[in-house]
Amino acid sequence: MFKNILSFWKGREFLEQALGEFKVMLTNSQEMYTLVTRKLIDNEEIEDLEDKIYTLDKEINENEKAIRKRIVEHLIMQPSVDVSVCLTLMSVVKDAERLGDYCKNLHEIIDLLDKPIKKEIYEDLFNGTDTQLAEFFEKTKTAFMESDEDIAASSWDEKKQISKRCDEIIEKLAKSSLDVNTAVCFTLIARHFKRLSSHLTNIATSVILSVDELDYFDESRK
Amino acid sequence: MKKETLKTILKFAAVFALLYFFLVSIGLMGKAFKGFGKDFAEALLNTTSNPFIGLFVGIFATSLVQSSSTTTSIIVGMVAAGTLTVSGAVPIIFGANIGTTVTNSLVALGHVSRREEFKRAIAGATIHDFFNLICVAILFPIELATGFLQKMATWLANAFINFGGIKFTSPLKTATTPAISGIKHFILDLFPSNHTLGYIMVLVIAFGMLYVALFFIVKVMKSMVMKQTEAAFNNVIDKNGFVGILAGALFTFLVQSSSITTSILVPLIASGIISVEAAFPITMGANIGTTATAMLASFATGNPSAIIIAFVHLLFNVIGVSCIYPIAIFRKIPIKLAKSLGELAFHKRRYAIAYVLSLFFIIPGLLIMISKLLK
Repeated sequence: MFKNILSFWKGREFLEQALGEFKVMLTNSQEMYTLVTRKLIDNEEIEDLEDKIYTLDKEINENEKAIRKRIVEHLIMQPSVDVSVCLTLMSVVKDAERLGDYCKNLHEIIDLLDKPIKKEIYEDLFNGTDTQLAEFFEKTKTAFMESDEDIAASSWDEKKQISKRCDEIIEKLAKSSLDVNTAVCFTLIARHFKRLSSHLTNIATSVILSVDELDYFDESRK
Repeated sequence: MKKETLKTILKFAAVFALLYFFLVSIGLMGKAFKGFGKDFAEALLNTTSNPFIGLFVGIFATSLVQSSSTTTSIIVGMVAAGTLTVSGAVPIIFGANIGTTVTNSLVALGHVSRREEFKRAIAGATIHDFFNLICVAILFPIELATGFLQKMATWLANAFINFGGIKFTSPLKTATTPAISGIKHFILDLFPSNHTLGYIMVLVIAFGMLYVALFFIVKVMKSMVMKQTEAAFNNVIDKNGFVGILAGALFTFLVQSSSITTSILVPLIASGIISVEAAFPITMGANIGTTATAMLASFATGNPSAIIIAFVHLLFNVIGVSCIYPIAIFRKIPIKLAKSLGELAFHKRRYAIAYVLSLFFIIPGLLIMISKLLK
């Protein structure tokens, strides 16, 4: 009790706390992606993978709620301070939470597969998309946490490349002679990769877009 | 010098200047009341001789100005001037505690368009009302029968004076006397043939200065402490009741307004961020913290009776909290009442509006009018 009494007047400032929690969301989703792709694509044995995935996802969801709660507290106590930051955060926490969900969806594909992915077929189709996406996670984190406008602006191109590739993969799969199970799982992987790149772009570009333009592609900034 | 540092220095300077205006207004008020003469004092003493009328005057006046700090400061000024006795002022102080909760009730009404939010907002606002009503219901009859608060306050005030308290605070009086004298004589010189009108003008100026000074003190202090308060907020909520009371008292002392503290809590409760139970200790702390204003005003007068009434205000709130909060079964009563009213408001929103109008304006107003008619 006495520790509480002495320490109660100390506390983290709103922005510092909210950004700290958001960084945890990005880090967790990046970790989820890394773990899932190691198992899914490389067929690496990872101990308690499911538990790790669900724990990380749960922490993402808790942080989303915590950030939203802090935003409401902040806007009630200091109504005209950092309004655009608050509204931007409200938008990007949703994207960060979706990153976690799509990584969980990728994990679920592991259970759908009849047999482990044949690496040659995968690499022939996906051509390093998973690696590009892994780097995209890191770039997004840097862009947002350090407000790096150049990296943020380059996100559109990254997304365009990944989206185009994923659409081509799905087209190829539709015309391929692969077995149904493999084709369906690869299609799902491609769709989830495309969604991951969209949400990563939304987060990165929030650095350079105004609140009303969030999640929209800005031709003039390309 | 950094811009932020300069800003902070200017704010501190502003607060000191505003405090000075506040203290001058108290002194000026005392002069005005004294200037009205014996007849006015007797009329006022007659009006407040009925403690129940005094209670309703306190509720009504505070509801109108939406500030217990304003009302209690005026009462301190009147007691210092001899226009009001301590025993006549005690019920008004009790009423001021109830009347000040009108502000957060009005804030709660702002959520009227969304039922669930409105239910929580009404519960969050009226927890303060019910707490104060229960305190008055318990302590008011005991005070009428025994005068125990007045006796305790007198003992404390004497202890304060004997330990050199008056000497310690007399620089306040010394600092404000020239300004008080200057303003009073300036205004009276404008009305050489009608001193009563002159003193009315002095009183109007004093009220104006008091209201404006308190308004801006609250505004400036809020801007200075809000960032730190927000950062510390989650350390306080839902932790330990004593910490909550302390935090409520400290924040209210700093911003000099219990209405600010409780009005911040209402939208937080309405949006579901915090519960009524979590906010309750902070609300009680706000009751204690707000007594600082009257205390400060009493020190400026240097008048023992004024200091006594300020201590009555403090003791009423401290004892009220001590009686209700520590015992779980008592603590649940205002919470249950507040939530029940919230539930009622959820089904029929007009009940909440009727509650606010009746408790703070209609009932006290009508009873005051009726008592005057019967006299």
